Formats: sequence, C-alpha cells, structure tokens
Amino acid sequence: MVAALLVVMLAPPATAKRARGFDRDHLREGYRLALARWVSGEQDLAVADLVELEAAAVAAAEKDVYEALRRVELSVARGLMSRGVEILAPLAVFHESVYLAHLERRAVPLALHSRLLVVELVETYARQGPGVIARSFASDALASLGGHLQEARIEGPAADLYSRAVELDAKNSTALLALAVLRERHGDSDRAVPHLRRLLEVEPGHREGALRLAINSLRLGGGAEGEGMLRSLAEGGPADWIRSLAYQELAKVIAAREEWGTAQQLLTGAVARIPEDPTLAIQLAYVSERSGVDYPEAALVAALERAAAQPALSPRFRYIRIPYERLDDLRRDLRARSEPYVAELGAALGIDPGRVETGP
Amino acid sequence: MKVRSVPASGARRGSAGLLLLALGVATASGQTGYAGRPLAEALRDLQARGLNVIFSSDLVQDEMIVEVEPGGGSLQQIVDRLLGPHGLKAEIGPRGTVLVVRRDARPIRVTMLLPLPEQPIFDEVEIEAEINAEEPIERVDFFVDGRPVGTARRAPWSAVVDVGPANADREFRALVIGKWGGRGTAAVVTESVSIEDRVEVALKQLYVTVSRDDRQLLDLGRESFAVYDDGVRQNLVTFERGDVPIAAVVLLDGSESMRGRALDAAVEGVRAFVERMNALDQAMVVLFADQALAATSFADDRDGILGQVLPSAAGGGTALNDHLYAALRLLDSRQGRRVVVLLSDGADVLSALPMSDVLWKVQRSDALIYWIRLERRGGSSFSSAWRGFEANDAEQQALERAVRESGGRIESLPAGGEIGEAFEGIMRELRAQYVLGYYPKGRRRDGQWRAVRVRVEVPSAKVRFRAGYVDQ
Repeated sequence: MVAALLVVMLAPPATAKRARGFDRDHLREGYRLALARWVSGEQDLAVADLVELEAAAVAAAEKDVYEALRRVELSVARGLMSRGVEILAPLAVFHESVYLAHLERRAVPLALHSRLLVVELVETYARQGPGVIARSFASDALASLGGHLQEARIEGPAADLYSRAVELDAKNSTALLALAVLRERHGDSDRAVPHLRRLLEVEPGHREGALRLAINSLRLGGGAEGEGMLRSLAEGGPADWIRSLAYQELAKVIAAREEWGTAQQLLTGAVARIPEDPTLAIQLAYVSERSGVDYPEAALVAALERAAAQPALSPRFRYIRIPYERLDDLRRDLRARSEPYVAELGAALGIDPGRVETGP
Repeated sequence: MKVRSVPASGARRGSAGLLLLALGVATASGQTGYAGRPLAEALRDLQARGLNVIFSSDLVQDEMIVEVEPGGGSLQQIVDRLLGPHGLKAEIGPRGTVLVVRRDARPIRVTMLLPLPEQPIFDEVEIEAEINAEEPIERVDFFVDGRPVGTARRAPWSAVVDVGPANADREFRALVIGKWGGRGTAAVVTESVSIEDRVEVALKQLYVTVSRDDRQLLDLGRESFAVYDDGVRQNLVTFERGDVPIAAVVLLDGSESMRGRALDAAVEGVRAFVERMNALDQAMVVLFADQALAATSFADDRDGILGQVLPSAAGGGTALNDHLYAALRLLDSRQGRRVVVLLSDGADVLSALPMSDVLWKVQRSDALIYWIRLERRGGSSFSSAWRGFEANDAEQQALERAVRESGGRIESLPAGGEIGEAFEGIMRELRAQYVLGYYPKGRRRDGQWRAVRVRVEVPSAKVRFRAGYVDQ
C-alpha cells in the first residue's frame, strides 16, 4: 500500500494543480541548487537555502501548499534516482538536517513536511535498495528521526518510528534501547521488557540494557532475576554511571527488606569504589542511621562538595534521558554510510565529480 | 486565751435531732445561713440557739470564713462541715458539750517533679512539686542544699531559681505546710556532670507559632501554654521567644525548571534570609538538582555565606528527597533551632531515597521544615522513568506531611511570586516563635511515636507546632 502510494507520488504530478503564487519551476530549480551545494560540501548553506526556499513557497500559497511542495521535491528525487536508488541515502540525511533547521525556526508544519519526506525517502530506499544494507540504513534513519521526536516529547510518533525501525532491522540496538526508554518513561515496564530482552540477545554485553532489564523486572515482580542482574553489574565493570545505579538499586532492594546491615556493607564498598557519586554517600548515611552505625557528617559534606566541584550528569539523570550518545553515534554512522553515494547524487545533478565533497 | 462557752437550754438536750431542729427553725425564721460569715460568728449563733459549743479563739480565728453552707446531717457532720475547711473538728464532750479541737494533722505526700535526677543543672532551674493532701495548702517552701530559695502560695507549686554555673551535686527540697498544720517534704538530688560521660540531655524543645487573624501573637507568657506529650500535661522547664539561635540549611532547587530568572530570584531570596541572620545564627546553602550543584559550608557570619557565591546556572532533574535527608542529617550535630528552608516545585523525579525514608528521619529530628513551593508548570501530576503518576502524587503528599509534622509550613508561590518576601517572612516567623522546653514524663525509649499537642489560652488563636516525635 505504502509502496503503491509512493510510486504514485514519484510519478510526474500530472493532475496536481498549481497553488496560487506557487512557482513549481522556481522551486524545482532552487531545490536542485540546494542539493548541489550539499554535495559540494557547503552543507550548512545548502540547508539554509532549502529552508528559505520552502518557507517562501509556503508563504506564497494558501492551499494544499505542503502537498504541492512534497510532489515537487519527490519528483526531483525520482528524477535523480535514475543514477541509482542509493542517492536516496544522502538525500534522506540532507532532509533530516532541513527538518532540524525548520524546527529551530519553529516552523512546525515545514518540519513535519521534512520529516514525512525523510520517511518516504528511506522507505523507498528500503524497498528498492540493496537488501540488508538498505533496510539497515532506513532503520537507522527512522530511529534517528524517532530520537528527534522523542526529544521534542512527540512520543507517540517517536514510538511508531522506533517500532518501524525494529521491523526493518530486528538487530537495531539503538532503536530497541530507545523504545524501551520511551516505554519506561510512561511506567510501561510490560512493554519495555521484551525490547530489552531482544536487545540483550542482539548485544549480550549491553550493560545499560541489562541494567534496565533488571530494574523493569523488579518492577514486574521478578525479584530474583532483577537482583541477580544488579549484583552482577555492581560487582564488575568500569566505575561508571551504570555501576553506580546498580549499587543504588541493589541497596534499595536490600533496604526494602530492612536488612540494614547488609545494605550498609554494600554501600560502604560502593562509596569506596565510586567516591564521586554523592547519591551513594547519601544512601549510605541513611542505611547507617537505620542500622545504628555512625556515619561521619564530614563524609556527607565531602560528598556534596565533591559533586558541586565537578558537576556532571548524575547516574539517575542519565537513566531517564533519551540515549543521546547512542543516537549521536548512529547519526554519525548514517552520515558516513551515505557519503559514498554523495558523488552519485552529484553526478545525477550534473555536477563535476571533482567538485563533489565526499567526506569530512 | 479566752474560752467561750455559752450554755443554753437547748444544749441540755445534747442531741443531733434537736440541733437540726434548731437550725431548721433558724432557716425558717429567715436567717440567711452561715456561708460568707466568720466561723466564730456562726459558732456563736449556734451557741445562741442552745448548742453548748466550746471553742478557743486561738483555734477559731476571726479571719476564718464559712465558705459553704453546712446543710443537713448529724450534729457531728454539720459542725465538721463548718469546722473542717479550717483544720478543726468537733468532739462531743461530757453532758452534750461540743468541743472545737484541732484536726489531727495527717502527713502530706509530696513528689518532686522538677528537676529530674538526671537533669544537668546549671543557671536557671525550675523546681516543681506535686502535692497530694487532704487539707488545703498554706505554702510550699523550696530549698537548694538547705538554703531557702523561694515560696509558692498556690498551684502550680513551683519556683525558678538561679543556681549559677557551678557543676556540682545539689539537693532540691520542697517543704509543704498545710493549713491544718500538716507537713510534708520531698527532695531530689541531682548529680554533677562528669565530663567523661556522654550526657544525653533529654530536654525536648517545641517551636510554637501562635497567630490570630494572620498576625503572630508575640506577647504571650508561659502560663498561656499547655503542652501535652503522649496525652500527658508537661511541665515547662524553659520558655523563650524567637531569639534562640538558628541553624539553617537552605536548599535551593537548581533544576532545569529553575533556569533563568527564577534561580536569580531564588538566590536573592537566600541573600535576604542570610542578611537577617543574628550573630549566633548559622546557615549553609545547598543548590541542588539531581545532585549538588553548589554547597557552602556552615557559617555564622553573613559575609562568610554570601561570599561563597552560588553559580547562576540551573539544569538537570530534581533529587529533592536525597538532599532533604542530607540537610536533616547535617543539622543533627548543630546547636540551636534547626531549620530547613526548601525552595522547590517539589517534583522529585530522581532521588534514590523515597519520601517515606525522609519522613522516618523527620520524625526523629527536631528540625522545622519550611517549603517555599513554586507552582509547577504543566499541572500537578507527572510521571518519570523512576515513578509513575500515582507514585509521584504519593511522594508529593508525603512531602507535605513531612513539612506539617515538622511544625513548619508550606508557602505556595505562583510563577513570578516574590521569593525574597517568602524568605523574609520565614525569618520573621522564626524570630517570633515561642520556644517551649520540657522533660517528657514517662519516656519509654521504645521507638514509638509520641504525639505532641500544644494548647494556648487565647480565643481564636491558631497554633502550629511539631506533631510529635519518635521516642528513642
């Protein structure tokens, strides 16, 4: 259905009426020029050009302007695809940048236009491109878009994009993680756990995935599994936010059973290993008080002062965030994977291959 | 000594029945009764009516007044009712004579309520005795180490004495003298404080705010307050107003929602608070988000605190519970009136400690919590990866409860509200609080909750105080 629709969209818009004040030829030419700048390495200028062009086109028309805009741009893309479907990869990357630029200008309808265009381009690429490679690229592109939406708290469409990304590539660990984070945010552990289990099948050593699975399993009553996973994370690995949180949550599980002495011993070890985490020190002060063990006030003050002197994201804050780092990595990877086809796009636009910028 | 004896014809009969008849006739004949008249006059009236009453002016003194009509009953009962309140009684003598004699003085039981044996004794001390007697009390004399230090002529049987700064064993004694001649005494010996000992001073201090029509009442005396601990009326040992030094932790929420002008206004509010500190006050300021962003040390000089400039950057989430617990914990070792002033929208999303843990601490701390509650954008309920809507709502309610139970209050501010004025208002309130000290009677140290109630003898007054504490 989507494929059929896309074929229609990429076909010459014979029946599309020209909107009032909407110069299709001017737009088509401007779009091609912006793409030419993009492939020439003037990427910021290229984005700015298209943003202005689209904004002017929208301002000049009153009705069906976004549909007209979409038809013009897809018709150009269709023409360029004659050099190979791979040109859709850099085209999608370009339009994702345009999407962000529209968002920055708070031009929400135009941002939506750009987002939908990216989806159409990568879906076409997934269908017509080279098998797993194309599907993987499209999956990552959709996950990237989902990340932008999640950041803007447009969470329903974000979840749809992540889900589609997982359909296209069941091993897309970033999409699986992001989807789980999104479900957790709404307290929906039931729906988060399957994604996390799948994530750990794909990447058995994924520590963040293991941490989240442990926490969500505990929420669903899976005490033994969750506690075991937390203990495993706390006992080994680097002294990072994941290990801090494993200690914190394991201490909470033990404290909930009022085993204050055990919690006190655990947290004493945790503070020794990760002294820069003030939350562990506060927890230790509390369980010490409950277990009747003196915890020096000076140690608590020192923990607060240490945190203030070196402000960093706390482990608990890291946990509730969108997985920015993973998404940033994914976007860098997307760009790198699209680079080989920038020259193809340039050729399709009739640009001298010597002028085409193919990498950073 | 004169002995008054007036034999009359009625006396010869010498029976209770005839006396009743005589009194009855008197009443019927328009006498107004004896209440309010001198006792001697009443006895003379009985004599005039034929009762052979014999009494000494040493025993029946002119200032003795009949307080209550004697009513009916046997002769003995009627005369006893006349004589009883004055420590006298009637004995039927030979040939029907009625002899007025002194009642046997019965021992008066006395218990020393204050000071307590374990109480460290320095400077001003309240001495208080509890008396169990059948006779009215003339007075109670108090002695410290045998030296008279004060007298109480009506209940409460107490006196305040300045014993000076010396660290010494002391004997506190109360000598009770009854109006009928009864006597009673009791003493308590307090021991000097050994400096090697760890002394647990069990004095419980209550910070009480009294207001009427939204204005604090500042001129109440000790006698206006009644404190009940676990349902038992307590003896106030100390009574002061708001000049008790303050040890405060100011917790400023510096999370993302405070970014910009809100945080600038908050920092100005802190300055206003600190600038109103007195010489012996101490404060520490902590700017926190998901973890501490800035923390000053405790300082007792304004410049020392204000000199530790707080950064104006805000960001991150809010770990309110963790920092509120830390603030209460840091106040444990501070002297004076412990106070936490919290400025936040109260939307904790990141703490490791649930509010129930903080409440546990609140019930074991004597710190007051004041919460300047900033109106939150986007309504009251919210969810996060750590807690859902219902759990977060429950956390909010638990925080409100913690503030109330501490004896503090919540001041809600709309967006753009005057944060500086809120801080100043809290400082004004602290300065106008009454500080009531008592040694709780019947402490069991059983870890159970003891509810506290304060009554003020002022109509329409609103009284705010700590709801209770855990006895440990």
